[in-house]
Amino acid sequence: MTPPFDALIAGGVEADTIGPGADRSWLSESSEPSEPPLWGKVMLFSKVLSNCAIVRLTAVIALTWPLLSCAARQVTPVSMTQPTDDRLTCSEIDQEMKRNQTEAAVLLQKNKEVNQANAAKVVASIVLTGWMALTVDLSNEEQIKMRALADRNEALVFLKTKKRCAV
Amino acid sequence: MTSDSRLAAAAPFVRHAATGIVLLALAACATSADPGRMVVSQAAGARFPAKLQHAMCVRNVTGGEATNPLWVSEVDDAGFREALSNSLSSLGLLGGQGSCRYFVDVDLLGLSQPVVGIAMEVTSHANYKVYDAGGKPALFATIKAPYTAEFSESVVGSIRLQRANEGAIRASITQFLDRLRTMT
Repeated sequence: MTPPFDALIAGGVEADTIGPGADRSWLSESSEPSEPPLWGKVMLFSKVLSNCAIVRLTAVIALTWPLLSCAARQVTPVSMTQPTDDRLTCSEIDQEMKRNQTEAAVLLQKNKEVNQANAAKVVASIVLTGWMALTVDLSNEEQIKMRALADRNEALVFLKTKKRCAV
Repeated sequence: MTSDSRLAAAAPFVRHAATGIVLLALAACATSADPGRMVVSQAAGARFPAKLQHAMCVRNVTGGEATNPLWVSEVDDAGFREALSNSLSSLGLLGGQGSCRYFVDVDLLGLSQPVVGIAMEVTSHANYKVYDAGGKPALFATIKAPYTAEFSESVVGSIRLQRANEGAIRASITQFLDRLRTMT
């Protein structure tokens, strides 16, 4: 018996006409040689795909990915100049510069750790689950704060010169 | 509807979904920010001080990052320099060779970017340093400039992020120009 391919391809309405009592002999393994061999493989592939929850979930995530909303963490770096700069004494300037250097060194280390963690998350998102990609940190918080501290120190050097502090 | 007929009905959807995933993956290749989209050509507000007219040169731009096509869009030093120079030029501030009286150094501290989003907000952080010809600081400005690229700007996430980067830099340059107006 020739299978009703057209009805199946056309969609659910036509497919519904195949009720429980319908002749299903064309679905059995002993179907006639006139059945296209490729169709069986396609059906098997479709069956595997549609029965696989992970594949369905991945497809849904991929399709809704651009629709998700997630804001970057707010970063507030130190300003190069500050309103109280003119009131700073030479020793206060030196203290702040040392403090900035120490803090920048800590941020440098943290920045390396964040970059390593990001790389690991990307690999995990490919190998394990795409959800891991959502935890990647692109705020660049440590890098921004670190560079800002270096520039702040540059401004403090000029302030020392302006105030005629000992070098 | 029987199980087999449901399978058959789902087959076209699975095919389309698979095609969509592949197309999305291909479309996700990141490209660097377009300098032309970061230029500020019209600036509303007060006039610039006369001493700055045709007297400014962009000397150093640091901190930018090259874009890895497999990662996210970034803004590189050359692109930022081009955008800033063209902005200064269009407003009559850029000096010619040998006529520079003010030198601009920019440290791109970084871009704070979202991973995903319908409306992607990127915030640029940059330090602008203007020195006079004698090397004395004339202006130090730390500028934080956000920009949100709406879904209408591009349906493709990677391009939307690129637009957000470009908008954040454009907003940063706009704020810098505002600071120049008040320079004494």
